[in-house]
Amino acid sequence: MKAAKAAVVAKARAKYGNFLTLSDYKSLILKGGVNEIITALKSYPAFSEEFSSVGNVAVRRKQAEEMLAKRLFKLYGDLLRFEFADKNGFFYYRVRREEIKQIVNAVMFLSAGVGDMFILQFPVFLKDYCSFDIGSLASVRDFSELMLVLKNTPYYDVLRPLQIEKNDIPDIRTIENALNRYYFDWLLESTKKFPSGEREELKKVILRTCDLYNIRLCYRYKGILGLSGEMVMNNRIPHSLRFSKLQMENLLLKSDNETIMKLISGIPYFKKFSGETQDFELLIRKSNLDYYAKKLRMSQYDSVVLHSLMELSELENTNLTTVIEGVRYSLTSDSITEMLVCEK
Amino acid sequence: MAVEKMALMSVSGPLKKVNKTLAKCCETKCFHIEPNYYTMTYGSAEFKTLKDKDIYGKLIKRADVLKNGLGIPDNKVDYEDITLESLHDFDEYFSQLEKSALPLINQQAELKSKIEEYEQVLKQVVNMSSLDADFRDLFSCKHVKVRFGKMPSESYTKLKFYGEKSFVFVPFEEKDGFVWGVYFAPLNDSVQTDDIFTGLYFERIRIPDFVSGDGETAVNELRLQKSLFEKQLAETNIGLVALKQHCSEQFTKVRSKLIFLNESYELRGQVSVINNRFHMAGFVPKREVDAFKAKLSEVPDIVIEEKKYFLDDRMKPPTKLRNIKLFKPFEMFVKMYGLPSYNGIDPTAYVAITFMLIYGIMFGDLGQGLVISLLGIILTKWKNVKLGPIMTRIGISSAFFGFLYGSVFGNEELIKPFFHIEPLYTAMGKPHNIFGISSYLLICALVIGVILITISMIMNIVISIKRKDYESAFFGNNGINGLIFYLAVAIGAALQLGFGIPMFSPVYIVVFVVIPLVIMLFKEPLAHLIAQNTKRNVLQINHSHIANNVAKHSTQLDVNDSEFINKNLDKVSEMEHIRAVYGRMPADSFEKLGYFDKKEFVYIPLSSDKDNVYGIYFVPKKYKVMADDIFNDLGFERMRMPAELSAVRPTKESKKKNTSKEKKSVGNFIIEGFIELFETFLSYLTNTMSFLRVGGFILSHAGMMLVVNVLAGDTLNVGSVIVLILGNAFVIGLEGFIVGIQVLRLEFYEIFGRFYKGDGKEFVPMQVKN
Repeated sequence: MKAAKAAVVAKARAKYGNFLTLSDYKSLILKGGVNEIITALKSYPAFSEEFSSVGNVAVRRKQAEEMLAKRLFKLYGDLLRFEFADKNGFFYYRVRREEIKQIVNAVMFLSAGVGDMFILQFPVFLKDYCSFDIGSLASVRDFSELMLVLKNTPYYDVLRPLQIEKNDIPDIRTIENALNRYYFDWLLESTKKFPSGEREELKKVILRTCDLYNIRLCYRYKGILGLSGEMVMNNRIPHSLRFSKLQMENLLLKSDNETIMKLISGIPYFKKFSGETQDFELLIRKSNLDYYAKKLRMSQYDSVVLHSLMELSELENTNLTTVIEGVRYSLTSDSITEMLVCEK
Repeated sequence: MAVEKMALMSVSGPLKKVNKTLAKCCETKCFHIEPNYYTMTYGSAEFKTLKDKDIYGKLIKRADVLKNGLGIPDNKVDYEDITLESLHDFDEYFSQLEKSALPLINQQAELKSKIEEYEQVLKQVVNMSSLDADFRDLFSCKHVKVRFGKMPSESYTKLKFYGEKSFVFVPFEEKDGFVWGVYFAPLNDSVQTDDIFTGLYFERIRIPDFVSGDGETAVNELRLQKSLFEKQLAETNIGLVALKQHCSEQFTKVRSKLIFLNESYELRGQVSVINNRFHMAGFVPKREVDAFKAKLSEVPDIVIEEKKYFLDDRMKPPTKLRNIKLFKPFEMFVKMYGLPSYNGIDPTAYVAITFMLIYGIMFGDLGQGLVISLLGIILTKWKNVKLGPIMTRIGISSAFFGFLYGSVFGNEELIKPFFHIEPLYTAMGKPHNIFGISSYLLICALVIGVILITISMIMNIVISIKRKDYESAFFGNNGINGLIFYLAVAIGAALQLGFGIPMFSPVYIVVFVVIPLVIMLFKEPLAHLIAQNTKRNVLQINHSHIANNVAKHSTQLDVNDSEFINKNLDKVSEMEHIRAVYGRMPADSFEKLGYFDKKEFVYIPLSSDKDNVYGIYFVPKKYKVMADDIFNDLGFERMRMPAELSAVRPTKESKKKNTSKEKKSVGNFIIEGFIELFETFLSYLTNTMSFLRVGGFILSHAGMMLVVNVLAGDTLNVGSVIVLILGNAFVIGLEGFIVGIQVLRLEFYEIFGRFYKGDGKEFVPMQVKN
């Protein structure tokens, strides 16, 4: 392993050592409000820099969540330094993911007729990394204007076939799935630049994410929205590690709204945790924590370790959001603690 | 060397004297109050606990305002010369002081708050100094809403997307990730604009209406005004300082007295009240009773009497240890384990002697012992460390044994050790140094262990008999039976292995080993058998006990009554299965009782007032219906038995426990019995072996000092002196500490565990909180 890569691996593992522990979360849960939580977070080195500008004025829940997201992106940037330069390289994946998220958000606000809302919502810190002018998305008034903003990006080619009429907005689910399919294709393609050992391990990590995406699709479309199995099959990601098309069909055919969760609990990814919870999102987070913590400790490849660290950081952010929202809505400390996912 | 004997004192008097009495009780420092005595004895229906309003609270608050305002330190001082007593006196004193102090204090507070307000406003307005319009003009806009404030820099970048909107944002400056500025919105769109800015995390800052002029003028104006206030504040402070110098000493004394009165007033919650008279009872060490009475007699109209009391679960006197100066510091270890009960044995002397002895044996060094002693004196004198006096004593013990071992700071050539003295020297095989007698040392350690364990077992037997716990005294592991077994095996093994005398003959084994083991195995049924036999007697003893106590307790009976009681007491002792009922009956009815002298009950009067006679009737259970009917007809009113008369009665839980024990199956009993027997046997062995450490540490100490001496070398120079000093310091610090812990372990586990129960209640003299 090259010295620089070894340094990234060591740095990532050290960063994980500074993650918040269960007792930290418990002490945060006991705080009286968002402001107190933010003040308490300032005392942790990992958060102090980002939250230092926050004074004694009331901090809104949404504002706190945006700060957490910004911190995450900054952490990624600090670890990568110059890797962002290659816009087709694997390490650009977080930007791609954020770009897709923002495009979907913009379309969502557009189709709801409240395009202005996107201005309030979009993260300004992204504009330095995005492959298009994210601010311009805030000014678009119809789908064709949106396509113009995306003109010289790969997303344009993905969305163009979906454009029906000049001003008509295609179905949001179709847009989201098309963009995600492109994202996973691109991600798998980007791994080809890595040496074989690293490529295989990275590929497995990505394919596992594809599996979880498809399972989530099943759960949401079939279990929550009650859509047809055909719809799920059409929108699925055509890649898999352990959750094949056949298994997916099997799940869709056998399940209904009530039994789908039971069937999902039996999937190998979740078997270990099925006794602990019946909450789907919590099940996925627990499975991710288990998987990525192992990868972070065991893998020798900086790409895998870095990816794992970012996934674990996302889990930490989700935990903090859970704490903030739980405190904001006066949930009991036990019920908040049950929703947290952490190792120690 | 015992537990201090206690007298139960009752103090009563008119309610208005309660505060003074409480204050005096606190001053005696020897009164342990029993707050529940009266309610427990006579029932809560009769006596109420004194609960009052917080009468000193307002005065204390006023005193605190003055103290803080004048900047007087929060000290408590002696207030002997303060004559203020009543609430009115204090009120007058504070009113007088408030007249001169409060205007200044209020002015100071007002100025401080203004200065703070101006400081805050300045902090905000400074960021708007580039504003080129008058604040007053902006505030007076009627059709445009004006909002000053700041927003995150990121949000500011988003503002350009709202180009079509009707608001205008004017930035002043960007600082610390925020953009300061003002936005203007038409009145009609102000709600929508406010929503947008809220979404952009705009923090509105309210500018007070006294701010005027453009940004720069406003800042200057505010600074000028603030400095004016600061000048006024300085003048006010001078006035306050002068006043403080004038009244500080007197005020501190008055406040100290007020605090004492308030805190002693809070103790009123522990006093019982009936018919506008207060009653309290508590324990006073017997030898301090006279001093206590003398101190309290300073309060007029109160009655102080010594009451008789009897020990039971409800009346548990506190324990105050009393030991000679040599042993007193070791009370700390006893308290650490738990105080003995009032009627228990104080083990302090035993702990002190064994601790000093074992420590000295384990860490014997003349020089180091004296150093520890010296350290103890220093720590006691300058730091008042509780361990100091113990260090002084164990240091001397260490020095004494060091002298015997011939060890001075590890040097074994300066003094002749005891094993070099004839005929011991030849008898021990002419050992060169202490390592040559290591086997003797280990054997001696075991002998010490056997002796200490035996003493502890004897103490357990004595205590158990005193407590009437016959199972523990006769059949328990540490009872007579266990002692016979332990000594038989220890002595037998010592004589056979040490001197070759064949001890373990079949008769010896059967008599001293097998039979004690069998008794140990069947200790529960045997104890149960004894308990059954004594149960009937206990019932009788308890009630006879009550009857006997009745005569002692009563102070109002004349000679004739005493004869009557004695005659009746004989009758009670002849009765079987009796019950005793306490209560009162009208005085006329009591006279009628003489007509029932042939009936099968006995009535014993206890005390009387002008209307009623208080007493107990005893009746065999088979005649209880008859007796109850007669006493009902006589207007006898049942009451709760006073604590000093009643005896311990088994609770429901203990009854249940006994029943469950009886139901144990034979199989369970045998298995448990054998396991317990094995465990007991093992504990005898391990506890004795545990004392091997005594010998072990003698050798380890000699070994450590040998290393220090080797490191120091044979020639004496600066280096070797430094090594010797550091080495000795290290050994004193490390080994001295470890030996202390080891000895404490031996005391607590091998010795205390055999006979001692730390279930006593600490004697806590009544005092105010601080």
